[in-house]
Amino acid sequence: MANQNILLIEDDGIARIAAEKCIQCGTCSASCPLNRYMDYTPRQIVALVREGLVEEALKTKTIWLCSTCYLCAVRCPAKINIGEFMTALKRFALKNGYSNSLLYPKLMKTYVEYVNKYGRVSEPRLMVSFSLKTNPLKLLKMLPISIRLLKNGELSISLEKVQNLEEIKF
Amino acid sequence: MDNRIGVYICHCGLNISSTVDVQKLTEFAQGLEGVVVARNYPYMCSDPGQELIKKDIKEHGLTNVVVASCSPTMHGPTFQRVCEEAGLNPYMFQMVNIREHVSWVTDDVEKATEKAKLLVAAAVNRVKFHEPLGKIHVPLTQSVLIVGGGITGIETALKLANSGKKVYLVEKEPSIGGRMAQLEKTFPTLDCASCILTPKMVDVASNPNITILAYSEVKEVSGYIGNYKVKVVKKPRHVDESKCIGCGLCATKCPSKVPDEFNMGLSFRKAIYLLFPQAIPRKYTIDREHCFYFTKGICRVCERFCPTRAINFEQKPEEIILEVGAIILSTGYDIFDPSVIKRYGYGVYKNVYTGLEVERLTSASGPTNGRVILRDGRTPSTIVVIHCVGSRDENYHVYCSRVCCMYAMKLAHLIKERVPNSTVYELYIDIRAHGKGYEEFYRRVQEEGVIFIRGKAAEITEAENGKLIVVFEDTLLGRVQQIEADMVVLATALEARKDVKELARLFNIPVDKDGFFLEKHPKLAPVSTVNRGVFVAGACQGPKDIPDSVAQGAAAAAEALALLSQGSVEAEPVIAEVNKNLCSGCRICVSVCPYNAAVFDRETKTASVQDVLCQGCGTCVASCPSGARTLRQRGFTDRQILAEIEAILPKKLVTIEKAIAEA
Amino acid sequence: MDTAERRLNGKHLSFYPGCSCSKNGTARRYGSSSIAVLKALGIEVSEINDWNCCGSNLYRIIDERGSYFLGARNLSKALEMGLPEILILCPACFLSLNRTLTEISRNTNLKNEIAKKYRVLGGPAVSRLRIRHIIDFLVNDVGEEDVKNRVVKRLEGLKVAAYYGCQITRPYGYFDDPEFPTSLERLISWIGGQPIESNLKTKCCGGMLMLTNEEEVLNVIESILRSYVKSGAECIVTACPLCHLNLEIGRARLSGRVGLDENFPIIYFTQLIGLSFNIPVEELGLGKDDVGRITEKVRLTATVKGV
Ligand SMILES: Cc1cc2nc3c(=O)[nH]c(=O)nc-3n(C[C@H](O)[C@H](O)[C@H](O)COP(=O)(O)OP(=O)(O)OC[C@H]3O[C@@H](n4cnc5c(N)ncnc54)[C@H](O)[C@@H]3O)c2cc1C
Ligand code: SF4
Ligand code: SF4
Ligand code: SF4
Ligand code: SF4
Repeated sequence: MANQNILLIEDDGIARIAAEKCIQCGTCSASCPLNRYMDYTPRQIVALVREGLVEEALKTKTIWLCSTCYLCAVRCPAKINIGEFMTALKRFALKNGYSNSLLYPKLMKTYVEYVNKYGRVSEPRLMVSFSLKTNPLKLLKMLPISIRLLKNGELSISLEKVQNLEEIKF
Repeated sequence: MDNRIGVYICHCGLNISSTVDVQKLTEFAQGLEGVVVARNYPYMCSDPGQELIKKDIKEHGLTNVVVASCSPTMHGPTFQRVCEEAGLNPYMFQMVNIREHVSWVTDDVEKATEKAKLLVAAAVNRVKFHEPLGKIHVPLTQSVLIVGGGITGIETALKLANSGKKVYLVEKEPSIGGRMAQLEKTFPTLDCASCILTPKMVDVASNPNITILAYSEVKEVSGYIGNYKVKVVKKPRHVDESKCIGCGLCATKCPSKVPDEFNMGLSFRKAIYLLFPQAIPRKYTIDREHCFYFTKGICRVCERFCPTRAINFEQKPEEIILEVGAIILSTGYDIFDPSVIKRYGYGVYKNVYTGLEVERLTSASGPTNGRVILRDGRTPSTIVVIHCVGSRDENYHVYCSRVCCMYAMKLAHLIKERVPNSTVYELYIDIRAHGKGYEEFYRRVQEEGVIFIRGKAAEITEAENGKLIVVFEDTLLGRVQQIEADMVVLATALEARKDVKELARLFNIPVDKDGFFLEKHPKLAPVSTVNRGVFVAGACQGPKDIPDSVAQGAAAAAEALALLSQGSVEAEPVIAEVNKNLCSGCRICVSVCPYNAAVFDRETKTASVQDVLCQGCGTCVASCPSGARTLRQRGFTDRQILAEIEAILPKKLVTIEKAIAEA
Repeated sequence: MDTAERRLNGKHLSFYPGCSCSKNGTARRYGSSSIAVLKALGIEVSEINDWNCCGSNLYRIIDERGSYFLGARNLSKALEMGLPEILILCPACFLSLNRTLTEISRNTNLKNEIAKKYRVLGGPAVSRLRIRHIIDFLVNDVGEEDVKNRVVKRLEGLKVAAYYGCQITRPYGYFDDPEFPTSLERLISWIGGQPIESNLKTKCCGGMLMLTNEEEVLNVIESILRSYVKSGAECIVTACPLCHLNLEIGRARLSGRVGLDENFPIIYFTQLIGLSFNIPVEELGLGKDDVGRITEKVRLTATVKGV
């Protein structure tokens, strides 16, 4: 039980999502567009965390499958924002060294590196560098679509950048 | 006379003493000017606690008593009585709330104790200026008004009438009976609702002590406890009640068809109608909104066929003035409208029903004569009942509606009974079967083959073949599932009536956060209200089943009897009074008094306050331009209030002065 | 018309394009068509000076505090420009900046820290900040009369299905129902189109997960596309760069499986409005194929109607 509060108040003092009042109704699980692929249902993640089995929750596939679409959040009868809860768990997992082998954290890291370096992201570049890091083969698969997008003017490889980069160091 | 004050500090078990240092507080009180004795005790309100005070009053010759404990709402009168019994005028007493105002709002012992000290000091200072007041006696009218003729109102009326009181039963619909009249069978015993309700309705109609004012509404209430004057308006039925014999010939001939509200719109009635076959009074009513004569100016067919010439298109609303000593509200509840939960598709998918609609479908006298069939005439084979629709949901009602689990299971039983080969699922979050025989009923329905699944439906969609797809998580399996159903039944919440705020204003009582009438105390005064002559009973006080409603009805009847049997009633002397010598006769107080208690005397050209009418609200006192000595509030004089403020402020004032000086 | 014009005339908002809708972003056409449509309606927008990444959910997972600083810098720039009403197209940016604003007003510690770096955000001007999604602005500020008055070519009878995606109305979508919004349908009908309903219109497209969980996301998109195919829509309009990209990928990869024509028009709703305003297709970033398909349908329906 001891770990539970770590999820409620983080060290930066920003208030977290209180999930204590969940009534375990399963509305969130049954609403989730990705529920079929999850190893635990969203409701079970809440139950795990409440019972202090935080580590088990952090190791699930579920938290990385949440796309933060907030359908659960607007339906939950206890008004718990499960999407945000999942976001907090993702952050907590990363901080504590869980799940780093998954693709998602790699994507985020690539993203954050880009933003910190240029202040903006150039999506095509992001995708390319992410794919190079993870699965270069995929780039080939994407080629037909990319060509079409290029033709339509949807792909541009020019770099977007903030002029005053000093202002985004904090 | 020198004040000899006793101060009594209550621990309230640990409620106060775990946060307020009661020992320190007692020592502090002991040191206050005028205090002769200060004590603390675990439960001041207990018998030994009360004895302690009485003994001190006598032995120390106390002139004033201060009790620091809980809210005066509950025990203020208790301690006043203690003073009285020991020979002290009860108004020489002051109560300090160091529980709700101190110990329950903080965990900080030091700050709590400091605040308690200030409040006690203020009370001690104030009580020095108290003066003995005498109670006022008011006579009581020996009759009762009951508003709402559902099962609660009916039971209450019968109890009171049988004990010899005159009862007026006001019902806004054309018939009494309420929601229970719409039910088929009642859980957990499955008695037929009409079979137990109808005889009661007949008893009401035949009881000489009861006057039924159906199709009527209360418009105005004036007066005070024991002496209310109530204006009731009887809406025109356009059928002369004294002539109508209830033959129904008019309705068979009437050309205007209207969706039948009693059958939840699942069938049609005529513009001239009886609410339901067993209606009491058995008098037909013309629904003006749908009558061709009233909307288009032609028809009058009913008039031609009525054998007793009872139809009267000219009938006007009728005003009736009632004089009663007590009022009981039993206005019941409304059904939550589930169409606001769009993802359930109620009102869009025709095979999604509410519980009350299915109640009518299963009723032998209902639109299908008790056959469970869909709107297109098919018999459903897979039925899903969804619990907690609009209840236990912060987006709608946080509370549990208490009866829906049970009625959902009752409907499952009835559906199984009418469609034996059907598969019935109950999607529940928790089964709340709290009453006598209720858990047994749950077991019984399980044994009958109803399938219970723990999980709330997330959404309902309609497939191309017209089947309803219900998606949910079976939370005990941890798996998201779906059921293809022919029919979905929503166990909708019970909610407060739409017009509850107006009623509350009319009768001058508060409503709770959910809109139900607020009782005086949830445990110890469940049918009383802060307005002493007004009582509440049944589902208007909160969601309730029939056994609980009836019990409350009986309780309200007993409360009303207890009040009326006193013959006269004591009124609080904490009211306003005018000093005639100083009154300039400006009449401002007369215009602001919400209770019409302030009146102007043409002869002396001064105002005065009628004791029994004044509620002590203080509005006039604040409005008097000639100041506090002219119009003052007994028990809340300027001197008393300033004394209280002085005891609290000085220290702060000193620091403010210091701060100014330093700056 | 007169009153609406007076109300909106000279209305000037700041514009936050975000990485996707900016000049080099994948949704540049969403950006350019939006600006063109607003201009046609007499509304001026100025791009926020030197804006930066909104501090999206992706960033927030790694560095929450940093994400608020990123958002706050954009807000401060808008305030410095004297244009506290910020127009946004991308739902993810809309969500991030809304969240930043909510956090700033709720969390004083955070606010003070942020105000140290971006001073305007410490002052009272913050209360004037408004984060507006373009749908909200077009439906509720511009309104029916003005939109209808600008239409040159009514898209009579064109069956248009809107796909909102998730984050426009959730959790900050105070301008419409979180699950069953109707704003886009209203806009479609104002330009003459026939709105087609789908009950999956706010179901999630899978978003960024396309990069990490391709198979799962393609399944999700498949069910969405199927529902649109079934609905008989002739054109799908989107309002989110990521939804748009995912639907396009879905169209390319799944068209055979779901019975969707490879050239089926999936365009931004602002492009469709622009078309009805008769704005040059280059400005709208519309390909010849799409324009052809759409106008063909319009004509077809019109002739059928005329018979
Ligand atoms: C679908 C369903 C099934 C149920 N099944 C059961 C069951 O099997 N067993 C059981 O124990 N309970 C059951 N209940 C609960 C039951 O209906 C209530 O307990 C009961 O009706 C409460 O009675 P009441 O008189 O307090 O209120 P109501 O029945 O609501 O009666 C209130 C009356 O007051 C009248 N009224 C309202 N406002 C005014 C006004 N301003 N002036 C004058 N008159 C007014 C109304 O017209 C009505 O006649 C069920 C409820 C539902 C929804
Ligand atoms: S919807 Fe809300 S209350 Fe229900 S299980 Fe999910 S988090 Fe808990
Ligand atoms: S926010 Fe996450 S958990 Fe909730 S429904 Fe969307 S994807 Fe599922
Ligand atoms: S006058 Fe009205 S109530 Fe009478 S028969 Fe005609 S429509 Fe019916
Ligand atoms: S009684 Fe049962 S169905 Fe009704 S609100 Fe309570 S738990 Fe839900």
